[in-house]
Amino acid sequence: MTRSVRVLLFATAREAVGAASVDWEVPASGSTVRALLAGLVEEHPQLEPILKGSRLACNGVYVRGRRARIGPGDEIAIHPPYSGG
Amino acid sequence: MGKGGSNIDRPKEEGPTMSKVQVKVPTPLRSFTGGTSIAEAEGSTVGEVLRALVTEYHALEKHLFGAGGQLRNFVTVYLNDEDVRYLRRDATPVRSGDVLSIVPSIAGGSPAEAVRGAGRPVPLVGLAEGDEELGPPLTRDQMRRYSRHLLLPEVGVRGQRKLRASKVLLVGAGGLGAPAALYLAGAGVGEIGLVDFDRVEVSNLQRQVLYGTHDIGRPKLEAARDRLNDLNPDVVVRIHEQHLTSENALDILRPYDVILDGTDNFPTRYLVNDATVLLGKPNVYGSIYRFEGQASVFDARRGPCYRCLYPEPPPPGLVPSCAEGGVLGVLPGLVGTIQATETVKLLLGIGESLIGRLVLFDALALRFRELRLRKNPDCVICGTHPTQTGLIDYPAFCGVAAEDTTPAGAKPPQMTPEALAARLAAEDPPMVIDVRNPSEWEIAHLPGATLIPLPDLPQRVTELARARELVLYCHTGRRSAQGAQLLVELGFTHVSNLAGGIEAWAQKVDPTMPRY
Ligand SMILES: [Zn+2]
Repeated sequence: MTRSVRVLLFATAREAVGAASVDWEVPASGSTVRALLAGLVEEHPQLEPILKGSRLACNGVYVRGRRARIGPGDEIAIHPPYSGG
Repeated sequence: MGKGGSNIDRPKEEGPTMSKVQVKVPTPLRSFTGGTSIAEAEGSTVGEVLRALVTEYHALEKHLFGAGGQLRNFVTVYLNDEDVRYLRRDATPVRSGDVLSIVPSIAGGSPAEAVRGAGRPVPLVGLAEGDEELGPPLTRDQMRRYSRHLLLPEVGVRGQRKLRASKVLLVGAGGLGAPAALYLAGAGVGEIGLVDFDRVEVSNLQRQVLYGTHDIGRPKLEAARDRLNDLNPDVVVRIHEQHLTSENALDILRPYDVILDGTDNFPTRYLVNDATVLLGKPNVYGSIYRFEGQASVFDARRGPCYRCLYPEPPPPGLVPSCAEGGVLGVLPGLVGTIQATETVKLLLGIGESLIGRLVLFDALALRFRELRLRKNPDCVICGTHPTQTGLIDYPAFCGVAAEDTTPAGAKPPQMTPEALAARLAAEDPPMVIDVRNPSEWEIAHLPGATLIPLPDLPQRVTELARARELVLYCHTGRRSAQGAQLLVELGFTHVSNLAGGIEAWAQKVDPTMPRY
C-alpha cells in the first residue's frame, strides 16, 4: 500500500531537484501542501525561490492556497512559470 | 450539520457557532440575487452558509444545489483563497469575516457562463455571422488552393471565407511565431500581423522555420513577409516593427480578432494578457523551456487569463532568460502549431477550445498532460472586482536591465576583455572562473579557466583562496555578475567580473573562438 505522495516537477523545479518526480512519504492520516513543500525545501534548498512563483496542481487541478490537504496516493505538480518563445 | 465545529480550532463555546460570512456572487448568477455582487449569510459551515443564501435567493438554489441537496460539482467555492474541495467541502467550518466566492467553472467555453458581459452571448471572435462580412465568393484559384479544407464539412466554403475575413496578430516572430505564421498563412487567414524587432541570426535557424540562411542579418519581419507572401499571396501581412509597450499595445492589438502570444519574455506576456483582457479578445498562449512547453487559450470573457494562472511575473534572474537557456529546436514547432490549431478553431468556431485548460508537453517523456484552470475571482485584471484598469510595463528581464537590480555600492568591479588578457600575460595572473554550464564550457572556454557552474558556486567556495585575485565570466556577463556578487557577500575582496563575458572576449581578444 502506498504511503507516499508523488511530486511532479517541471521546468526550473525539475532542474533544482535533479529529477522529474519524487515520491514523498506522508502520514496515513494525510498532510498539507504547505507541510510537504517545507519538507521538500529542507532537502532541496534551491527549490525555495522557485516555489514562490510556481503554481501547484493537486491531481490535475490547480490549487490556489497551500492549506489544501493531501494524502497517500495524491499527485502534486509544481509548475514554475517560464516565458521562452 | 451536527458534527461540524466539534474538533476544530476555535474559541471554546457551546456547540457550533453561527458566523456571518460574505458571499461573492459571480456576474452570471447576479440576475438571481437582484444584481447583488456580495451577499451576506450566516452559518457555521460552508454548506450552511450556502443553504442560508439560497433561502434568501430562491432562484439561486438550482444553480448551486443538485436535486439531492448536494453542491453541484461544476460549482467551485473558495473559502478566502482556498478551494473547499481541498478543505472539508460542505463541512468546512467558517468564521465571521470569511469570504466565500462562488466560481462557475467553464465547461468548454459555453457563452452562458461568461463572467464579464453576462447576459449577452459573447462572439467567439470579432467576426459577425452575416454573409456580407465574409467578403466575395471564393475564386476558382482559392477553391483549388483550399480544397483540402473545403472537403471538411467542419470548414467548407463558408469556413474558408471566414478564415479569409479574419485577422490574427502574432506577438513575437521567433520559435513559436514562425511555425504558427506559416500554418496560418497556409490556412488562408486573410490578414496576419506580426510584432517583432529583431534581425535574423544564424542561431535562430535551428528552430525558427520561417527564415532561411539567405535571411541572416535581415529584419525578421521583412523576411517573414517575403516568405508568407510566397507561401500564400492572398494573405495580407502587416508588420509592426517595434517593442510592445503599455503605450502602443492596445492600438496594435485592437484591429485583430485573435492574438497569438509567442513572445520570449515575461513583460510582453503580461502586456499581451492585460491588453487582450481589456479589449475582450482571445489570447492564444504558448511558452517553451528547454524540453517542455505550455499552451492554453485565455479568454477572460469565458475563462481564466494568464494572471489567473501566474498573478505576477517572477523576479528578474529567477528564470533563465532568452539567450541563456538552450531549447530543443523542434519543441517550439510542436507548441507553435498547437497555438495555430487553436487559432483556426476559434476563427471557425469549431471544436472544443483550450479555454480553461492548460496543456503541458514534455518532449523527453513524450507526454501531454492537461490541467484544468479556473478563473481567479480575485484576479486583478479579470476577477470579480478588477483593480487593474490599464497596462503595466515591467522592467526588461533579458539583457542589461536585469543587471541593474543588484544593489549599488556592493557591485563587484568589471574588467574589460583587453584588461584581462593583459593581466593573464603578466606575472601573478588572476584565477579565472567560468560559471557557465558544462555544455557551454564544451563549446569554448578561456585558457587556464576553472569551471564552477553558478549553481555549484555556494558549495565550492572552499576551493577558492581569499587572498587571490578572482575573475568570473559567463556568456554575456550577467550570471557571472551574480556569482561575483555572491563572493563579495561571502567576504572575498579581490573579485571582478569579465564585462560582456566570453562573447566580448571572442569579439575583442580572440576572434577564432567559437561563438554561440
Ligand atoms: Zn485573470
